[in-house]
Amino acid sequence: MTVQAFTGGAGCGKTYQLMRSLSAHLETSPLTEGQKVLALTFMHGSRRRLEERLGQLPSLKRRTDCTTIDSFAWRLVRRWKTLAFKLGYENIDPSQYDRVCDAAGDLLHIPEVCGWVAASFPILLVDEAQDLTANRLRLVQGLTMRLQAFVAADEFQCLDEQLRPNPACAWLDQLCPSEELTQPQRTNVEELLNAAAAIRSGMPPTSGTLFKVQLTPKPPLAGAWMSSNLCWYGGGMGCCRFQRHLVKVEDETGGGSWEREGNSAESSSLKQSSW
Amino acid sequence: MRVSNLKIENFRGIRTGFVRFGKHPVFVGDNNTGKTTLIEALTLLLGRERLVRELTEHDFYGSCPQPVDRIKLVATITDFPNDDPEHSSHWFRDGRAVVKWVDEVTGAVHPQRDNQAWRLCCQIAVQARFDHESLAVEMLRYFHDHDDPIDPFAEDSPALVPGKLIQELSFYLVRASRTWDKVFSWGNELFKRTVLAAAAQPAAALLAERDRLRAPEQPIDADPGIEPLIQNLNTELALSFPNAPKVQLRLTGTDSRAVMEAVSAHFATADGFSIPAGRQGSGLLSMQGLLLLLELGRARAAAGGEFLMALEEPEVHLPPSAQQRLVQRVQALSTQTFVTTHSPLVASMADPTSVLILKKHNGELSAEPFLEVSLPATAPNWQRKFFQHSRVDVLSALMQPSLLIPEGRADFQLLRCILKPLMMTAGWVDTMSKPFGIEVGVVPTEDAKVIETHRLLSRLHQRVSCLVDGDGEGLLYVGQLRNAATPPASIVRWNDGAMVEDTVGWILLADEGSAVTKLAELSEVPPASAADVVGYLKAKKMDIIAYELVAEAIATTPACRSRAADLLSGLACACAGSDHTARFVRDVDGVWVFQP
Repeated sequence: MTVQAFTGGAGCGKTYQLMRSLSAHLETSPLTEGQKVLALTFMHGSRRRLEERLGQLPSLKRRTDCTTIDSFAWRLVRRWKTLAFKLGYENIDPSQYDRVCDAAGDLLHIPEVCGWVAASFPILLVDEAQDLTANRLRLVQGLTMRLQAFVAADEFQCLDEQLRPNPACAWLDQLCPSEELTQPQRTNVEELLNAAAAIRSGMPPTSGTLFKVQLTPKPPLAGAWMSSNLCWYGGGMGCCRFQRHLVKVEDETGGGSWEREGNSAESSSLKQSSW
Repeated sequence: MRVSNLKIENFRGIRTGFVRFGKHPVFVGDNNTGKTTLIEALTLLLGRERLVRELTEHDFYGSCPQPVDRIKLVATITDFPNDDPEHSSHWFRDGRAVVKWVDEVTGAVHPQRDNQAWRLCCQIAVQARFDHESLAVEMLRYFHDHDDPIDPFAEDSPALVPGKLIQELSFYLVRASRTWDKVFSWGNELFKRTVLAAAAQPAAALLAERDRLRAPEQPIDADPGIEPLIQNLNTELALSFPNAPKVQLRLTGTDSRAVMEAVSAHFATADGFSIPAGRQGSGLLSMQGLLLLLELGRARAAAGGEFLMALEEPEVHLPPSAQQRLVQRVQALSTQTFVTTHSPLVASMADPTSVLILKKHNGELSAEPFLEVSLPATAPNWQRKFFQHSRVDVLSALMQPSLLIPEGRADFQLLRCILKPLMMTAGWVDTMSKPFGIEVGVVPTEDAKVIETHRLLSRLHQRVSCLVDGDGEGLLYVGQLRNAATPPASIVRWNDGAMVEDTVGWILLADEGSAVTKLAELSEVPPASAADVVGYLKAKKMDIIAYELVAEAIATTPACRSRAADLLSGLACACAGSDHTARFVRDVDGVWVFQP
């Protein structure tokens, strides 16, 4: 099946494009009885956001199954246990996350298994694909053999230093001409856009009127600096720089609520990226 | 689709069991071997909610379920179009069954098709537990993924089998007790379903009837007999309520539903009388439900749908010709049928490979096909005769608690001929310590194939005994039987040098004078002694008319009759391995030898 990929920086409208392409696809080939869209993310936080976005599509009407890759993998392995055993995965346990993903990847490369998933889920949606480790990517690759896939990724937002160069982005690059989104949609504040562009191109950002760029000697001190310098609307945008780490907090709405991107399932509120 | 095999654990009288099915299996077996349990298990797995009886503690093996005890049933369903899961994606997809492949030769289920002969299958399971707080049995029906133990009551989400798929299988059950009289009525689910599937609602007629009942030509309440009472009631009512309504008596609730439920089938005879179903004999009553099922099957078959039917004891209430027609009709219309029977006749109608002989030992159920694989063209004549021409006799013998394989056909015929008139003699059975005709089934051995026949039948029956002659050949058979992989339960032989005809001579000797006189028509030269009779019988093997003559002479001669009883009950004791007889005594090798 085909893969449509969307890459681009934060706020450039990847998710928006994802939803638009999905809607267009559903219009030409609607779901039949019992079918759903399978939406996979790496973490629970993005799963919730994606679920919310999909809920807004009237053509879907709750016909989505939003789940993290790991829980999808276990769901698959649990049902195909005998076949997984035959493939060499004995005594597999749901807490062995990587092993479960390995097994699911192997299972999905068997046409019957992939067809079995495709019968329920003709469409696959993957958000934050840059976070996919090699074995999780293999799982997604297996699915794309039978499922029509829509994938969004931003190499720059990858959380894991091990994933450099990023396997998912490399795969998407050689698979299809991905739609590179470059125009940020979340803000039109020039100095903020410039700072973001600088960071993406590997240059140090400079402080603006609305935010400060501050160097701290150690990563943990960035947090301390943040907490002592946080203030409500008006001074609400901060970006601090330290040796090899960047801490970025965006005020998306311009109001008092903080849009936070986490790097583990629920807890972390800050997003780290290599300088 | 059809059921390829069934696994039972802890259900009713079956602790554990595994049965493989062909297209139209017929189950035979002693009472309490699990025929009904098998059908009930299939019903729990494949039946609609309505068909499923509520379970109680007695449905658990041992009747005393502990909190951890579970009834576990697994059915393997196969015969999907083209063996392609994508053709049946409503069965095989996420949330439904996982793809598996069944080897129908062994019944083993595999996760991948490593052999092209294996068929696509899905497995449906049922688990039930007794809840010690609500004192009720909980049951779940789900897709069975693997054989590792799972607890569907604890596990978050077993993939439950949706009602739609159950409906697609269209499994129907006709229980042995089927004498309900209101079958052709809208109160009956089967009737409603059949009307919708095979015809259309007779709406116009029903509405006309409703309107007629609302405004009867001759209202009951207007009859001069009852009218004064109605008048009084109306007057009283008018005094109690302002604008009081008037009393009217109407048949039924006068809505279409009440009319439909009040419908009751009548059967009109040639002489013009129409009698309601409830007043008919049980044969006609039990036929009604079957007729509906046949109609439903016809409609399903015409629409290309599945139709699975379990039929308990089709012989009940029906004459043999109707039994045969019924079973053949049901089999022709259904994707798969499951028939239980106590009738050798019904069993013999089926292909010998689909007749399953059920055995139960210590709660372990096993089912062996009467014939394992269809006889090849090269099959020897005796096998062909045994499984084709003689199968009613063989099946009838298999339904007895003990089975006797005589050395030759003459033994079978003579024993049977002698037994028949004796069984008709009132009170005769009571004279025996062990009633032969009830406890022992004798098979018609062909061509003295006692060794081969034993090998065939020891697979099917737990208590198989053999009866051989007292000559050199008989002793040879004894030797071979003793060395068989499964030696017979008992080896019985006639006394030294003797065969069954000699034993008949011994019976006649009880009152030689009277008995031999009755046999004047046996041969052109009337026999003068028992020895003459024996000589004639040995010279004219399988002369059935002669056998019947001799049997009649024995039955009508009291002394001979009691000797025959002594012999046969002795034979029954030997077959059962019981020493309560002087007629058969065990020799040093454990062989029961006849003692004249």
